[in-house]
Amino acid sequence: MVICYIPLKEGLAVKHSAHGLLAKARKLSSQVTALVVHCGIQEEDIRLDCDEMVMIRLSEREWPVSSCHIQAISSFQRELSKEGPFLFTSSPLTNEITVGLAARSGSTIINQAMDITMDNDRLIVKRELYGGKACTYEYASCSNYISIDPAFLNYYKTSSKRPVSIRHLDLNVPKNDSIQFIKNKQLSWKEIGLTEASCVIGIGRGVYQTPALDQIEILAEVLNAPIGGSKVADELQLIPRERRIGSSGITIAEADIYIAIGISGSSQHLEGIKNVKHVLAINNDAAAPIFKRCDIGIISRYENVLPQLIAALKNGDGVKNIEDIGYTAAGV
Amino acid sequence: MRILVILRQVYEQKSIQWSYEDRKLIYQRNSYNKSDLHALQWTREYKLKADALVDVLILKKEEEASEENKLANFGIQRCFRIPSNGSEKEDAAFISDLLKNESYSLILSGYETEDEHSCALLPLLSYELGIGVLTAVYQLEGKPNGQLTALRKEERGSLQEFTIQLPAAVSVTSHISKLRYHRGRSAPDFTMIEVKRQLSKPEAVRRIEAPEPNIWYADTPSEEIPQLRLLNIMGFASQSNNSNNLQKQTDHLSKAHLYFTAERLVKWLKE
Repeated sequence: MVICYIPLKEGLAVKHSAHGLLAKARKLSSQVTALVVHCGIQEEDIRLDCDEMVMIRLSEREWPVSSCHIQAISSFQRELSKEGPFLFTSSPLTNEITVGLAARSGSTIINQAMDITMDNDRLIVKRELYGGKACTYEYASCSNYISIDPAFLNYYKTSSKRPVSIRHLDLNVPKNDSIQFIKNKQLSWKEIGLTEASCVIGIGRGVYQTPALDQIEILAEVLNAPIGGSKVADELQLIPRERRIGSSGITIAEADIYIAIGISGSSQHLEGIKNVKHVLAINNDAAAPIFKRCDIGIISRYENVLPQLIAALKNGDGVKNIEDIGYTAAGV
Repeated sequence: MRILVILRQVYEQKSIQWSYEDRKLIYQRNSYNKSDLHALQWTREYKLKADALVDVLILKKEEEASEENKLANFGIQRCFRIPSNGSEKEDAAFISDLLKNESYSLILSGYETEDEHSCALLPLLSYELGIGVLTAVYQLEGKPNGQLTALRKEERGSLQEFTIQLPAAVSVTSHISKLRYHRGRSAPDFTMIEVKRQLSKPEAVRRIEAPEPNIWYADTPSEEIPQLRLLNIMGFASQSNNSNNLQKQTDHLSKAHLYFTAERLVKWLKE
């Protein structure tokens, strides 16, 4: 049996990496148990490819504190008849949890694994060393706590209709006075780094000496997106040097959305956004290469587009039937 | 406040290379773990604002040369130097024994080592000592009541705020402080204490190999045209994207298009 600790976003939603983790566990054993330590998720909102799901509820203030998780998981482990590997996805919280559980049981921990395979009764865990310059293969027993780097988990969409038995465990977790969670804080668009934001705005020569620069800041505020720019924008002093995107600047590998305003899209700039999922381009030059890279392109001056786009985003007009509207319906 | 900073000697990530010919790592150059140095830099800045006595504990691999000159000007009082065999479990047990008669309010270290990417030492030590632990702290500030406020980045663009009741162990990321390099090689201005330790062979059985990617075997796409099959492998599935063949650009700025753009942005943000 393999037990998977399901990674949650703020204790309320299942992360995509949970499906990859369960798929990895399924390769190791036919019996997979999913452990969901949450702070208010509904069981009907969870669809996981597992045989059994155990749900433990913590309060919103307890959930970010590792000692509460350790006590909750330990009480669950006491009920187990069989031992098996315990799989986690790597994060600061799970790092504290795995170490705490291993310290209690005397087991060993392997953090930030790339892959796990079964060899007879032993597990072979593959890990990266020196930032990917070498790999190490470690033998682990089946009672180990192993955390897998989510970057190495494939993004599966579960289509399994396997019947899942669900158990709820009620626990009274004693208060931990040493570390106390206060609140969650969102970084504002001015604080957040270009490499960690989910949405980034890029500006180029097209916005130079135009009167509507404040509109870009309003859009940045609405979308909580930091502003970067092309090499030209840096040279024209529209953005600081460290916010230059492209081969001579930074690569925004983690962003899901890139909004290019007044950027032609040179090959060097496109190198910096090669891993971005969705690109929206606004430029008045229809021949700009950025339109070959974008998902949605608007050929217009950005001063005309942004106020209306901001109003549409703020009011939510036309954003109500998100799943139904298509390109044809939008009249594009 | 008494602070202990744990510095781990590592092989510098930038210099090291895998030699495919000899099947071993070459160009190994010793250095202090960078995030540990960020923790030490934080204590230096903290000392300017509040009273604190700072001790340093260096975990060094036996054969490595010492670089204590680099630690001058950090305002360190004592520096313990302990040989390590690389096992975090054994290191934590040994350090906890060593610290039994000491009373540190705060034990600081970097979150992860740049060579082995291991991050278990500080949590293990905290459980041995029976004190609270918080890892991967992004920002740390002292409060007048003796507590600390810490921010930790758990999700992208979102921080969690904690209060820490001392004594505690905190591991920090490199965002905690900006490293200031001290020019000039001044002599160490602290007391050096060599701690003797009988090292055993590490328990873990492992072999180091050349870097290898994880290989995923995906389903073969069923499209007839090879170009479409290639697009499918690249992630642009023609079957699932019904709007694939439609025009993506517009030169006519209509309200419907703007709503559509806004709707897509919101949808992408939710993904």
